[in-house]
This record gives sequence, C-alpha cells and structure tokens, in this order.
Amino acid sequence: MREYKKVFKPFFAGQEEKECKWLSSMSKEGYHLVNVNFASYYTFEKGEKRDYTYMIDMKESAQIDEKEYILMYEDNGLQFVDKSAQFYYFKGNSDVATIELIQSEQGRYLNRINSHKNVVLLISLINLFIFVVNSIEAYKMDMRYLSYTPFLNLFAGILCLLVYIIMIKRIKKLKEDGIKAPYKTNIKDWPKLFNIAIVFTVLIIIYGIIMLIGH
Amino acid sequence: MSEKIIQKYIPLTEATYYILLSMVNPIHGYKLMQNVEEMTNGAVKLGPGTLYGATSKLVKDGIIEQVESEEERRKSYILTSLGREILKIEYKRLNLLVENGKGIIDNLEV
Repeated sequence: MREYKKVFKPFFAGQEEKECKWLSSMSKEGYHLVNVNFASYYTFEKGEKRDYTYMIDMKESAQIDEKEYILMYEDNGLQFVDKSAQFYYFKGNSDVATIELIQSEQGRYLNRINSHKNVVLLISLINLFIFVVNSIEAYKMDMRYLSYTPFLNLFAGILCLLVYIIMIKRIKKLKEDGIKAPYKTNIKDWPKLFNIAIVFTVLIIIYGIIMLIGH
Repeated sequence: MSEKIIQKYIPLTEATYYILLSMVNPIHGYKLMQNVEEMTNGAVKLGPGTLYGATSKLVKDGIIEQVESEEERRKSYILTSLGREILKIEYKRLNLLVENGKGIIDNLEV
C-alpha cells in the first residue's frame, strides 16, 4: 500500500533554490516528490529516508525534443520526477557530480532572469500607477466609486514588484558566485509561457484603463 | 539577414565558442559535453539544459543543423556554412586581441 502526502506550499519565480532545499529536506524525512502542480501543490510518496539533491530546470524552447532533453539529464545521473508547465523537476544522489551539474546550469538561470527583470518591473509600475490614479479619482468623486477601484492592478503590481526584488537579489548572489551567462538572450528567445503571462498582464492593465475611463 | 545574425553572436560567449568548435564534425549532445570538458581541462562545463538552450537557438538562427545520427535516440548536429563563417570571424577577432596585446603584456610587470 503506497502512502502519499499532499502539501500546498507556494513558491515565487526566482525561489527555485529554496524550493529545492525544501524538497531535499522532505526526502530526508522519507517523503519523495512524485507530482507537482504550479510550483505550489506537491505530492510526496512515503519511502525510505534518502539524501537527494533536487534541481528545477526550465526547458527554454518548445522545439527541444522532450525525450532527448530528459535522456540527457539521465545520462548525467539525474532522475526525472515530474514537470509543471516548462519547469522540469529532477533529483539525484547528493554527490559532487550532481552538485557540479546543477552549478553548471546556474549561468543560464542568470541569463534568463537578467532578460526578464526589466519587463517585470515595468509591468509592476504600470499596474501600480493605474491603481493610484484610479484611487485618487474615486476619492475625489465619491466614496462609493471606491468599488470601481481596480484592486486587481494593485495585486498584480505588488506581485510583480515582489518577483522583481527576488530576481535582483538572485542576480546579485549569482554574480558574487562568479557565474557567467553562457549565451545571449533577448525577448524573441523567450518561451511561450512568458508571452501568455504578458498577455494576461496587458489584459489586467486594459481592465484598469477601462475602469479609469469609466469614472 | 546573415549579417544581422553575425552581429548578434560576435563576440561569442565562451560556451557558444566551444559548442561551435565541437560541431565542426557531427556530434551529439552528451559527447559534446564531454568533449568541451576535456578540451578545456574542466574549466568550461556545460549543463544539459545550457547545451539544449544554446542548440535550439543556434538551429533557429541557421548556425548549425541536425544530421542523421547513428544512435537513433540522440540527435547530432553540425555547423552550417554560416556557422563556419562565424567561427572563423571569432577566431580572427580573438587572434587580433592577442596580437595587439603581445608586445605590451610581455613586458608588463605585475
């Protein structure tokens, strides 16, 4: 009889290291990850206590053949656990080879957050701006207009700002560790996931603007 | 079109340079990783994700292309003529940098 444990624990983008450490500590207690959804809903299977090192990797392009991609990690001694969107979860024994392998991927990570951070900040500021303008308008006119205030924009703004701060911290730390970006990336190279995220945010922004005009 | 791509890539990053060097002859991913590590005595290590990210970009920009592989599960890649051109431009550029530094750095006291 297999025993499972489900845990809800959300992590932000940029907190992969923290997430992996947590997964590792779960394995040490005998709970091994088998399924993950949205980097927040985890299913563990109870087993023997083991010392595993976890790694989360983003498959950057849909053009990359998944089988080959996973095979490549398995050639290097990692085991594929599960994926959530473009994020692939691997685990390996906590030895030098695994740690070196994970280290060697850090540059790509630096590359990615470097190219994302400014867009995240811009989205955050636009949302916060819309919220502030709306609030002032609502306050000037009548308190009952307060219900028109786009709190969605406030929420999106704060969320993006939080992600931005986490990204900046990560970049600083990676650079201190002497990590270099392995290749150049621009917006065109982003995977579709980010396009969808941007479309969503633009919709929220449009919603805010409509609210503004509605006053 | 190719001018633009050349501009985008040059100067090559260390990782891209070694990837291109290894792809002069058809090679698959795992072999390439070992190759680069050997060539640089372990100084440059490519993770699988890094290699795959780089490879997909290089294919998209027409710098490398996929070729039939003996091992059916793994894909092999080789430089295109644009890829060979970029590698040569970079090699010349690096050489020039070294040349220009020669007389100066040899006499430099640390």
